[in-house]
Amino acid sequence: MRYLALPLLSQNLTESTARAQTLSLYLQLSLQVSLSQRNESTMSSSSSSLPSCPKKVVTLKSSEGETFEIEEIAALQSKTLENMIDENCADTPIPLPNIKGKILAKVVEYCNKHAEVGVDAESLRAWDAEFVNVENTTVFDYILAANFLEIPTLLDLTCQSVADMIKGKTPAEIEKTFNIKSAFTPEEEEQVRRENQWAFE
Amino acid sequence: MKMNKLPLAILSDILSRVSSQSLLRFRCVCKRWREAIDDSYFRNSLHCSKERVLLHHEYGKEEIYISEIQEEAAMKMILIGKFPELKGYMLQGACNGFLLFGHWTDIENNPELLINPLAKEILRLPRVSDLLPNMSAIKLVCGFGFDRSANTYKMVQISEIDYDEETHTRTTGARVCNFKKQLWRTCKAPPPSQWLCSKSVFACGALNWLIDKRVKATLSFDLTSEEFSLIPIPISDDSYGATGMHEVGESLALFLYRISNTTHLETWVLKDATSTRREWTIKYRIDTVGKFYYVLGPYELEKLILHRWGDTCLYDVNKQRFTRCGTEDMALHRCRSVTLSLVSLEQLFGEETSGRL
Repeated sequence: MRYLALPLLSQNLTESTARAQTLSLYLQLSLQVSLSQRNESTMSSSSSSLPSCPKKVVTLKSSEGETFEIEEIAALQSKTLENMIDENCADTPIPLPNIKGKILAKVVEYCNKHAEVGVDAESLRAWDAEFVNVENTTVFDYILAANFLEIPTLLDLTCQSVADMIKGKTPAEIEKTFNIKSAFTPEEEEQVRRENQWAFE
Repeated sequence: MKMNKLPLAILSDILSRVSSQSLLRFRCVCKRWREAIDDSYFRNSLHCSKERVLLHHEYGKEEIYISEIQEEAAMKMILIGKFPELKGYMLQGACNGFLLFGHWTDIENNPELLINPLAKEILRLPRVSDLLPNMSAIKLVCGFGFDRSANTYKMVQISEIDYDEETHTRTTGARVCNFKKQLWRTCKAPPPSQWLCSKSVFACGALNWLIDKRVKATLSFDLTSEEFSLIPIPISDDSYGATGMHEVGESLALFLYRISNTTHLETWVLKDATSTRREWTIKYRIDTVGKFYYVLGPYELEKLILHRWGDTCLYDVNKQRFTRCGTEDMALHRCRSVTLSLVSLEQLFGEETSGRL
């Protein structure tokens, strides 16, 4: 058995670079694993069948190294995972260095729920509402995870929940809730207000 | 903080789900938000908000207001802008945040104006008298809407050609303007009628005017085929009257009441408006507690404004709830329920033809 070490990915990666690197890394890993498996099977000189694919369960690995299992059907809701699954059939954990374990667990839960059959629309909507009924910071983590994994339904749900959060709030309330520092000088801010005075009433 | 780490595409996605009025406020939050909101690509790709506001413009004046109607609280009139170009003009049509104004007394010398009050843009249209000199200048009604199949805004005008004193019938001519092609052309005249309600309602790809008195029908102009047709209203006997016709949801809705007994309003909705099998079906009844109300139009997302002098109410269509609102002692029936947007008028033509205020 060959043990492979994952190189540490730099913190300053952009989303797409991270995704591309993860994909290429996964491909390299999978290729090596399937090569070694093939070697093993030829060495044991049994029937020369390749490892069976597709596997029913996919393993995901969070940034801290924790692993999570997800059924392939559920995983297919993520375009990123779908691409990775298509490329390879080996049973290697897919590294997701951008996503923490706590968040990944919830994303897996979301995908599993949305892959279930026979759930009526009304109860799914209620379940979704509960899913995003969490702290702001967690919702943003969900957004980033959904964006990275390209899960359109989760991205839509989470963006909408943030939009619902900001609707009707004053700029001051928004700055406070999301800890945003306005880089405007008082004169600039006054000018912006004057341009659309009525919207502030 | 986490909000600032969101990629711009996601920030724009979130902002696109918020009303135009809120977006104008949010320009104040921080530079990043202001840049995202002012970005022309962002503005022009905003899907047209379905949320309705009550717009108020007094004939000939510069000011445009929106009336904020609140349950159990006084109505607020909010000035959204002063436009000196609007002196002498009257609001004639609205679609997707663009407002069409026509001069009230002298259209020979004053062209129509298209305004987006939120984006602060104004566009002067070429004078029709220059383009179609044979057309009468007595313009009766105007309509403005969006033709989805041709992906262009269109405007139609009906003008008086002849008035027969004996039969009291008016012969009219019509012309339609295709904004993308920047082309005016005359089209087949509408069927002669006695009286036309001046407010057009854009719904289901057609412009509709309510004709009352004897004909009891709606005149419909299909923006795609550019043809007029008459759609009879569901109850044509004289025991019923119409108290409003509006776009509600995505359909054309007609509000009828029994003249002798005004306990409720019947809401009829036109099904299959563009096919030949157009028919009205009754959708729901609004209990108006024994009083007669005008239906002023849709409000916000799922509400209707009901109004009579000194008394304004909101009817929630989903919850079937009727709530009294504070009001000023004024006739609101000149107000118009419209949607507002930040989309640039350049979208009409796809070129730099508008002048910014």
